[in-house]
Amino acid sequence: MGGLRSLSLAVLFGLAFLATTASIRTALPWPRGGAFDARMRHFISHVDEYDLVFVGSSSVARGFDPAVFDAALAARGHPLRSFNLGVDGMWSLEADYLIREIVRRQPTRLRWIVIDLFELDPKLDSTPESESDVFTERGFYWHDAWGLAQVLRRVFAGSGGLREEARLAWVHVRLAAWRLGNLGQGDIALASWWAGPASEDAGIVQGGGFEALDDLNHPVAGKMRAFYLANAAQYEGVIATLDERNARPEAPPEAKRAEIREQSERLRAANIEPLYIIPPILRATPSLYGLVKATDVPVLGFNSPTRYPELYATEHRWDATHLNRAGAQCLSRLLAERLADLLDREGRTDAVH
Amino acid sequence: MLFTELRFLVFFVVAFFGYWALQGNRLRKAWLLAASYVFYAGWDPRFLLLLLVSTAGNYWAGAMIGREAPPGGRRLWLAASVVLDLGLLGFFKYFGFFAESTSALLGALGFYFRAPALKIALPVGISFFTFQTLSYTIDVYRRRIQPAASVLNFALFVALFPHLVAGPIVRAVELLPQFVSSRRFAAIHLRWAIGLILSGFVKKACIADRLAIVVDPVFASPASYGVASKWLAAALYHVQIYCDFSGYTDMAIGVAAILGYRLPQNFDYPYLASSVREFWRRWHMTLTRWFRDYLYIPLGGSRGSAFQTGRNLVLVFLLCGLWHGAAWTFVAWGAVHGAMLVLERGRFGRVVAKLPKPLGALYVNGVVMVGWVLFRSVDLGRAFRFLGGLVAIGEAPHPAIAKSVPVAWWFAVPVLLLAHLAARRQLWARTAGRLPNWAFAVACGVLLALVLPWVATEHRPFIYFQF
Repeated sequence: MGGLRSLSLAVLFGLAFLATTASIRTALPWPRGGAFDARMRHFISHVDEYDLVFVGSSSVARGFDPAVFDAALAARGHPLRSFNLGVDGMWSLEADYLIREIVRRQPTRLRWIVIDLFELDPKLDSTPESESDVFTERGFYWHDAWGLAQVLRRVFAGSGGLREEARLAWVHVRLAAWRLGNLGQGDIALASWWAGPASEDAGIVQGGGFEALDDLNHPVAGKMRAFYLANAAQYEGVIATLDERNARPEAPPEAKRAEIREQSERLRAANIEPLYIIPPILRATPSLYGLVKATDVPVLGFNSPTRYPELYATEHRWDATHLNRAGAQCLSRLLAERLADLLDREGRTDAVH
Repeated sequence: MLFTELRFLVFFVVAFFGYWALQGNRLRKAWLLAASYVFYAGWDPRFLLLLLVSTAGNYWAGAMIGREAPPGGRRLWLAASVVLDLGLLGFFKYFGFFAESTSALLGALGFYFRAPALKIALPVGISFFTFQTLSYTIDVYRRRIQPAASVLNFALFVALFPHLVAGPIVRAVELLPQFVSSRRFAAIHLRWAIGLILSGFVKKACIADRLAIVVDPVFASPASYGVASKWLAAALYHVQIYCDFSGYTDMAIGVAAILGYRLPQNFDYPYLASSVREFWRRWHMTLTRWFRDYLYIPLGGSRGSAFQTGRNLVLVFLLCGLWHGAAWTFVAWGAVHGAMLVLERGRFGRVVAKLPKPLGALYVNGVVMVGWVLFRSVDLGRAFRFLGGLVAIGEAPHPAIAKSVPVAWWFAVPVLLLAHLAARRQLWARTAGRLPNWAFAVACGVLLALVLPWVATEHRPFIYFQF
């Protein structure tokens, strides 16, 4: 068998494989197996009903109440309908995948996506060391070709040393291979085909995707709250120096700047305006403020106890990272006010903080 | 590095292209040997030294046996190689077992003896490559083969990565002659090899690993499960171990074939056998023939009295059990099989021989399944609790805390049996053989894509790696 003939057979094999895996993937329900299934499912089936969505980690998921946000904007003469697609533990490349999925569906009404400006980690935003944590549905669903390219770019732009970079790169290549081959997804496809589309969660729809930590009744959330309350005095010290530390912004890595730039350009090309936010957490985020200075994307920073003391008041917090229901209402109103300011000054999309 | 892992695919692609890109037999063999050492070091680089010691020692012994004319000298070198091989095996695999057993025995007799506690990691595949090297020196001693022409050939015979860690147990006479001439890619039966790799992958990753998820908890805690769940777990393990081991072997043979080497068959539909004797001619065939040729026949085989034959059979199967693992559960498993083989040599065997084939297969599967319970159990106590539970002997778990295996899994058994029968009729081979090249390539791509969603996403080592 000649070399060219062998090569053409290998190409045929590859094409048949890719075409079949892609067909299987379209038959798989999306999203699946993740914490945000119900919200995403609702959003996908009502994609043309919303003007604004929130995307980000738990700081966003637990920090913005669409009902309060919509009401505050309406009061300022900007009636919008928003939905919270924040997910606990989400990180920037997962969020980027979610954003691409939203854009791919060509929402006719969507004008804004409020995006968590994730903290920068020189290696990865967060990579659990344990394989059993990494190799999950949540771990691999965003590893499409673009997601893999992005994550590899970030891995090799880091400063973890060649060995660590190779380890991380291999983890993500494996995750991408899992996704490509739909590994272990047969049961899900079968169950979905058997049971039909899942019904909507009325509570999630009514709450606009928002679920306060106060209502979660989860042991981990309880532990986090107890830890926060036990260390409240210590946090006072952190709050006192937060603005000072944020005032010395750090230069962000070029890879992160490029990511933000590319993401915002992609959104604008789809007539959607990105609005990045820095959530109020009890930790200095100088790298995020560095990013604000280094890019021309609109960023609303809320991690400032001087400017937003109410977001740091104990009665508004669940723990060091998250707000409680009252705090979320407060932050939602603040964001609505600042967005209204932006909308009033139509055309202005420069950094706000 | 498991055959079902992505890193093996990467490793194999590099090994494959490097191997066929090189010109000249010697270079290719050197490349393959280097790849095999990388493969072995992927488990634990420390054990590479052990493999090298075993290779060097046996090569030297083989060369000396071939050279030494006086019988005494030849015997001495054979003894040296046997001591080396069994010494390594004994130390790494059985030291802890014998030390603990001796302590327990002396304790029972009223003597206090505390055996030195050494935490020795078991080198993967040691039982397999040790049996290969043993067979080599014995065959050279018996003048059945010439000593290996070069250390490269011998090292590759021992370490060729497809068979290195879990067999088939290849004999020098089967592999060494294949190293003499350069392999030709055009001579490879690619469709057959790809079919083996695919079927092996399905058996291991889609069936065995999935069944393990159901079976493992029952064997870990048999007391928590009722009678029906125990039967189901035993039946599913019966399927799991076959799919696991024969799946691995299929992949090993297929991978070797793609590199131009032919490995011996290791399974021939053993669960379709109609006597335990026939089962052993079809299950782990290369191990069975090893024990037959290097232990059973030298012990006298079936040439002596009925008692001597029975003794030989039981002894061989006790050692066969011990070969599988350093635990009393394996010894008990070997004893069951040895006892059944002894029984089948008598009147009982004549009754079994007269059974219609399906009934005979049912009998074999029943015996083998009970044996697997011993084989799979963590210790004899749990094994007997499990076996007692199968016939509702012993305390049943309280209904409030009893766990159960979903009944739906029962459907897996007939489905897999049908698939087994279809494979026996070589449906795949016959269909694939009729396709033009382009259609075969497309069919493989589509099949692989259809199979992957059913892969159990948790990698589990091949069961036989531990042996």
